[in-house]
Amino acid sequence: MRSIRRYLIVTLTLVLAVATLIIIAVIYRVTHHKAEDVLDVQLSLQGRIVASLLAPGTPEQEYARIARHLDQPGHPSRWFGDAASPEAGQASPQASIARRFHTDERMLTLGFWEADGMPWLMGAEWNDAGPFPAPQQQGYRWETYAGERWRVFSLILDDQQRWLSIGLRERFHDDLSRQLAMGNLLPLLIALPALLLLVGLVVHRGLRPLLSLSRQVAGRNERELGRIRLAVPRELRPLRDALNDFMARLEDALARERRFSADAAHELRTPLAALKVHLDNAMAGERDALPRAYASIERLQRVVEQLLTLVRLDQEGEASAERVNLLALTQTLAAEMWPQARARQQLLSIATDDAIWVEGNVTELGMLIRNLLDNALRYSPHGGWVEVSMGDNDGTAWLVVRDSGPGIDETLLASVTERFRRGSNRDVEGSGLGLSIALQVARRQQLTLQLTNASTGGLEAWLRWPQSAVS
Amino acid sequence: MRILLVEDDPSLGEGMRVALHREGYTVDWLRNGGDALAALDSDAFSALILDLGLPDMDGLEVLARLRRRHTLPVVVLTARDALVDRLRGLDGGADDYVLKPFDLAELLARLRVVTRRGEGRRSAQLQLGALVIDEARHAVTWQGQEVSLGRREFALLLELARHAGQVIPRSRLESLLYGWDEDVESNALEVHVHHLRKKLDRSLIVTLRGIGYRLEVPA
Repeated sequence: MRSIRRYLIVTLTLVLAVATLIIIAVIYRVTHHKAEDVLDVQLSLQGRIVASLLAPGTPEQEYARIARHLDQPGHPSRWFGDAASPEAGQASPQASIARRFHTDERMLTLGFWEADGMPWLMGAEWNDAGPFPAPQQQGYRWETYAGERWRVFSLILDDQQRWLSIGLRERFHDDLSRQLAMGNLLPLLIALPALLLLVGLVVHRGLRPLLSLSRQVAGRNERELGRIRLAVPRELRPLRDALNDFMARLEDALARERRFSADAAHELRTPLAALKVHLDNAMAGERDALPRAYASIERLQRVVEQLLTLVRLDQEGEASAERVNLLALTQTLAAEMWPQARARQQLLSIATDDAIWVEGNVTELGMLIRNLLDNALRYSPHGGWVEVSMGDNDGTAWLVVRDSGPGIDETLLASVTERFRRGSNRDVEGSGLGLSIALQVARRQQLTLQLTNASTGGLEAWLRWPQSAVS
Repeated sequence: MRILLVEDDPSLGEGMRVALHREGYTVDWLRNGGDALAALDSDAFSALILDLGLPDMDGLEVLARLRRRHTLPVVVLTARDALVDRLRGLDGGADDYVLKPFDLAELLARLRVVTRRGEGRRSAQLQLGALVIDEARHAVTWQGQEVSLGRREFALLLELARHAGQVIPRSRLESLLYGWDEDVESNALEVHVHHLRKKLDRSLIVTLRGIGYRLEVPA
């Protein structure tokens, strides 16, 4: 359906047209049937009147007189009584009163037969192609004569010597029915344009709420995503509510994106600002400024790399999975990070000896655990410790990184994995992206990452594998 | 002049502290909004440099709260460059804003502009009769001769000149000159005043015993 309006208008118009045609056909049929009844009664009545006028013993010359009255122009009647001269039956022109007062007089005629079926008198029309067929019995019948159907009523006269038939062309029935049907069709045809106009108006009115809703939606943009409060008909309510839901989700997503770009700007511009100030200071001869500038660059580099990692994680498809020895992987990472730990005299240890095997992507798992270790080392104090344990209970693998840092404020636990969210300790240099990356990788690897404050202080980062991923 | 710097980033804060100090400002550096509001209530500052991205509360919130009680010049430091953010900052009571990353020279110039605007001055030069102080160049001219002043001496003279003719209490002068960080010898202020009198003119700075000092506007 390419256009509801077109569909409705076309369909309703067709329905109207078909309904009109059906009505006309029914009127025609009913009228035809009813006309036959009425005309039958008329035929019978006229036959009886004629018969009653011809009392027994009516002289034969009387029939000649009747024949003269039945003449019509071009269609002479004929009396067969003058056997001596076959032509004598034709009424003399002087005597004939062949005149038609109404064209429909052609439709009605009558005839007489002798008891043995020989024609006695044929009215106009019934004599044109030889005598009309003789009646076999009294009452109504259909007869075909000269290619046309006639409705015929027959009865025997009182003298029991002759038959009388009186007939009406079928075309008269047809004309009557057609004229009645047409008489009904005309008002309908006149009303049809008005009806179509009405259909158009109704369709237009019916579709108006859809148009209003469209305008409301068209009026929205990324800055104006308020709920549509327009009152709509029941059928449009699900659409309106779905649109509102969609816009609410979109607004959330946009707000997150805006916050992300604002935060990204802050995390990139602040070290840049620091870098510039330190370089200015260095040019002014401050001795400590250059190492500080160098540290700013390292920090900037880290933020840029983390941002790129996040963008890549957002875009990349599913990573391939393989069997990973979690213990071996963690040992490798811990060895890599040993210098970072030793620089602040921190103790980094793994409390598990048994190999744990899981299904996963070794690169992404490595990124995940490295981020957790890095986070733990950063937030642990000088001379503190970080401990990793892992295990495999009931077919569910887990890994936990415990640190000796301050932990995270309970109110911040939920939001700390959001991008750029950090604990309140700003003396630790970090962009707030590490845990966000860890969470994203965990999601990609179908792991749950949970942060809890240990009862002994410090933070615990729990990684749990789903049952099926353990091998 | 004493500046309150509110910046939560350790590296940037340290760099700015060093730079402002080099420029002759007395700098007190705080890392969150709550401490900043408390310090503004208890101490005298010539101007505030406020970062908007603070850990405990939004910088605009700090601005709104301090504006209920204080009129000191505020330069806002922000990474938010959207027009709406800048307008909110200025409407929220900031005298100026500087977008990170900024040029130090620009920040210092803007700082000078907002502080002298607070005194109703338009030029970077402060002229009081024969005494001319150029804030931007840190240069002082007395009776047509350029005078070489130490960092503290310049700061003290500028402070007195900014309120020429008015008595500035000794405690306020000390606070504006030394802040919290530096150990101050009890007679340090007298020493600087003595040097200024020697390099300029004996009658320029009047001592009000036990109260403070006043710069006499030279004829």
